Amino acid sequence: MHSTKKTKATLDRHLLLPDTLNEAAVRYNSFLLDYCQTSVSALSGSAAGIIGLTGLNGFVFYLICSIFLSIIILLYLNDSIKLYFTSKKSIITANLWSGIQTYLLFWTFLYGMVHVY
Amino acid sequence: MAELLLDSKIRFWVFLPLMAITFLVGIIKHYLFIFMSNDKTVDKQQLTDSQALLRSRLIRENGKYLPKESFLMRKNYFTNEDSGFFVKQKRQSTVKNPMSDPKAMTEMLKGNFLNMIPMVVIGGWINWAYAGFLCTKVPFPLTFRFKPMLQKDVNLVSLDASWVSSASWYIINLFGLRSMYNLVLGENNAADQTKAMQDQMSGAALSMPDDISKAFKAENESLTITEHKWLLKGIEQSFLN
Amino acid sequence: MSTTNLEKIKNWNDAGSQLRTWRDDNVRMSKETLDLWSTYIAPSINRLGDEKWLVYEQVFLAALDCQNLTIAEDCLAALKAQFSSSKRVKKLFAMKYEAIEDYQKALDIYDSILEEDETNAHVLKRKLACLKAQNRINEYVKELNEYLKLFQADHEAWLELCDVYLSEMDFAKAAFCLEELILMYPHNHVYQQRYADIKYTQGQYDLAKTYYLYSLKLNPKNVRSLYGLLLTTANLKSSQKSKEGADNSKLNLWAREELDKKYKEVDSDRNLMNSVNDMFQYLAIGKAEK
Repeated sequence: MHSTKKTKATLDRHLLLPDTLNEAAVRYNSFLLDYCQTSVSALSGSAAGIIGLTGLNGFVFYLICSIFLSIIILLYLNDSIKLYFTSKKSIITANLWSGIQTYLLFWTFLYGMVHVY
Repeated sequence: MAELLLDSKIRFWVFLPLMAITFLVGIIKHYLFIFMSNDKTVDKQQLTDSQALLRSRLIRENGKYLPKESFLMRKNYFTNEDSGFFVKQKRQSTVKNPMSDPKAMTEMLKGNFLNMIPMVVIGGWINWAYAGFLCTKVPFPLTFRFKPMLQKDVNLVSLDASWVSSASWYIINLFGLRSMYNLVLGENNAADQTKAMQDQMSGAALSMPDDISKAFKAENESLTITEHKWLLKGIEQSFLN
Repeated sequence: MSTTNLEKIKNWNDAGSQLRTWRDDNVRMSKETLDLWSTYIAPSINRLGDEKWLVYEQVFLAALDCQNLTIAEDCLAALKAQFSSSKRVKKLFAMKYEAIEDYQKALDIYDSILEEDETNAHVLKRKLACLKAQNRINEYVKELNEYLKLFQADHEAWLELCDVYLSEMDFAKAAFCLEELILMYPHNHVYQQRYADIKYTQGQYDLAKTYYLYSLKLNPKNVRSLYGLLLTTANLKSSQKSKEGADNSKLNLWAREELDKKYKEVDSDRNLMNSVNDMFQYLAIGKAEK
């Protein structure tokens, strides 16, 4: 019984993965993800700059905001996550790296505007 | 390290304008590109070649969904030693000299023009107008290794590495604003993408490899070594269990 | 979808966005398009800004569909005034000639466009459409093959060629075309199912069974595939003995149960059910007699 179940699972996987994915849809989804991430990093960067976070605090703040966003997305998608993305991990990690440039820019910019001069 | 005091005029006349300039130049570039790109016309030969390459790639990737005979028939059509499409079609090496083809040259010029000119012009102008300013400080400590990156043309050894010069601020903007373009021009970019996809479906705008005979040879080889492994074999089992 | 949405439309703005969705989704609601045009859009066309040229084109095509030549002429005149040297507008002119069945004039225009731009897929397709409209099927098939030599990866053309071969009962060639489509879209259950249909017609039941099963894997709701599976396994069951025969009857039973379930879902008073059951019975008897 156990073995038949296993063969079924492997068969399903090799029939349906990985190229069952609609490439255009995947691209669109990751584009939207990127959109959220950029907005959040721009906003959180601005906030960090205005309240004048420096050093490690700023990075921790970024991490918190970013993880917060990931959690919100995961909660929002809830069960249907498999429909839109291949793995949960990819949502979180892709988010973390893509936003840091934008975050740094806005953080530096508003920190400079408010606190340096 | 002693705290530096910056003239607050720098904020309004250097710091802020630099960011605005980079951002607006990016946007202008985007619209210029839309404005200047026109429909390409492709000649028949190129089109056939690129479509054949596309189809051969599909056979390699998705051939596993076809019954064996159908796969072999297609493989034979392309790679038969005597009469295969890739073997028979002798193309002279078409690495065109761009100087002899005015069309290719204008295309190239346009591409270069849009990417290089603003970089050079704005970068040069900023170097000329704002050289030697410190304009801001990054809110986190950095090691001295970052000094040449962040303090272009400010050669002060004892200066803390987290101060940023104007030229470097421009470069930081250039990279950091990239994802902002996605945000602002998002809809347009998406529209461009779908348009590109439609073109691809009708085969109008496939990017051509430079040297078609080389591409044919490579494709011929990779198709020849592709073995047929039928994915649907034994599919009943997954229903029977 | 359309009727409820259409009732909500109250002004040119709603109508414009409705037309936009149809345009983007390639929906051919020609009559509705014309209605929206004459009630809401035409009086305030200039409010649409640059989008109005796209709307003109869309309405023009819809008008040709409905043989409303006055509206078509209006749109064409507007487009002509704006884009006097455009190939796209030239193509529209030719399409108008097609609509009034003056194919020679249309073909002349298409040829003149092709002289400038020999690989314009839209125009090449229009030329093919002219042949089809005149019912010159042999030439049509020949030209379509020529076209596919150029555009080997154009799935629409393969689909069209498949349909033509099917109408000519040339199943082997139609199967070839569908194989191309499967290569391009291996996860489209309809193509898999159609391929299985053809294989079934050709009598290659084993292949047909495999592809019906795969299409069911991709979309368990494909009723036609269920019926196909039912028929193929019924055929195989009678012709084979041994273990495979047992598998086939299992699959046959499974397909029948699935169909049963589907009919129960949609049909409460069981009229349909009864007729379907009769049919099952008939099938089973038919096989037994052989």
